[in-house]
Amino acid sequence: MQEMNYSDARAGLADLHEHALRHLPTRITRRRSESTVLLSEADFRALLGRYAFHPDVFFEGGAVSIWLPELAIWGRGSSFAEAREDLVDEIEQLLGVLESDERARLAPNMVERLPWIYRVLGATSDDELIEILFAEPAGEAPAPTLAAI
Amino acid sequence: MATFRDLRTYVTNDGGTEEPNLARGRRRTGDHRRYFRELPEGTRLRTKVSHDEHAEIGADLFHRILRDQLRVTEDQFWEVVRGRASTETAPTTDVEPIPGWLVTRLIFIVGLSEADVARMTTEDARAAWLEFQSRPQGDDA
Repeated sequence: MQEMNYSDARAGLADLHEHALRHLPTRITRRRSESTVLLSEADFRALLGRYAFHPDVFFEGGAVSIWLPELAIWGRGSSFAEAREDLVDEIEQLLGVLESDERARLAPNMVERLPWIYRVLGATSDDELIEILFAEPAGEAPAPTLAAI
Repeated sequence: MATFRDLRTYVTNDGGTEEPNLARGRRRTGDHRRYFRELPEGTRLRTKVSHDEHAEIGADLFHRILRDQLRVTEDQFWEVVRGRASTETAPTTDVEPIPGWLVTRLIFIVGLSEADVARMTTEDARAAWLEFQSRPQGDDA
C-alpha cells in the first residue's frame, strides 16, 4: 500500500483522492499518532457489503417489534411500517450517542459492532438505510438468469 | 409477562443512567426513554423503555432485551425489579421469528396484510415468497 506522511498527504490530497478512486488506498502516517487509510467510498462500501443485517420481526400482543441483532436495538409500533420507522429513529439515536460520547464509542461491545455501525453511518437517506437493513440475504435471492448476466 | 414499567423499574434499580435524546429532527424518539449502564470493563449496556409503560413487551422481544441488551437471566431481572426472588421463573421460549427482509417483501411487494403475515410461521412466509416469485411476470392474480 502506498504510504505517505501527514504533511505530504495534505499537500498532495488531490493526487491521493485520484489514487483512491483507482482502488489504490493510501496509508497516512503521523508522528505520535495512529495511521489512517484513505480509500474511495465505493471501496469502503464494497468492503462492508458482507456485513449484512438480519432483523427479526415479532408480532406480539397487537404490536410489531423489529429486533436488529447486529446492533442489539429494536423498533416497535402498531404496524410494521411504524416499527420500521421507530427502528430507523433508534439507529439515529445510537449514531448520535457514538458521535458525542467517546466512552460509548470505545466500549468493547460497540467496537465489535463497528462494521455494521459504518454501514448505517454510510447511508445517505432513510430509504437507503431501510434498503440496507432489509436487504434479501444473498443465499435467498434467486440465481441470476443468463439474460440478466 | 413483563411490561415497560417493569423494564424501567429494572434499569432504575440497577443504576441505569438516562441517555439524552440525540436523534435530531426525528419525530418518534420522544416515544421512549433510553438508559445505559457501563460495566467495569467498559461494555456499554443500552436499552429503551416505551412511554406506554402499561404495554406488555412481548415474550420474544423481552427475551432479546434480557439476553443482548441487559445481559441478565429472567430470574435476575425479576429479582432486581422486585427485590426478591420471583416465582415467575418460566424460561421464555425462543420462537423462530420471521426475518425482516421477508416481512418487508410480503407486505410491500406481495401485498399481504400484516395480519396475514403475523399468522405465518417462518416456513409459511418463505413458501409464500417463493410462490410469489414463481408466478409468471405480469400475473397480478
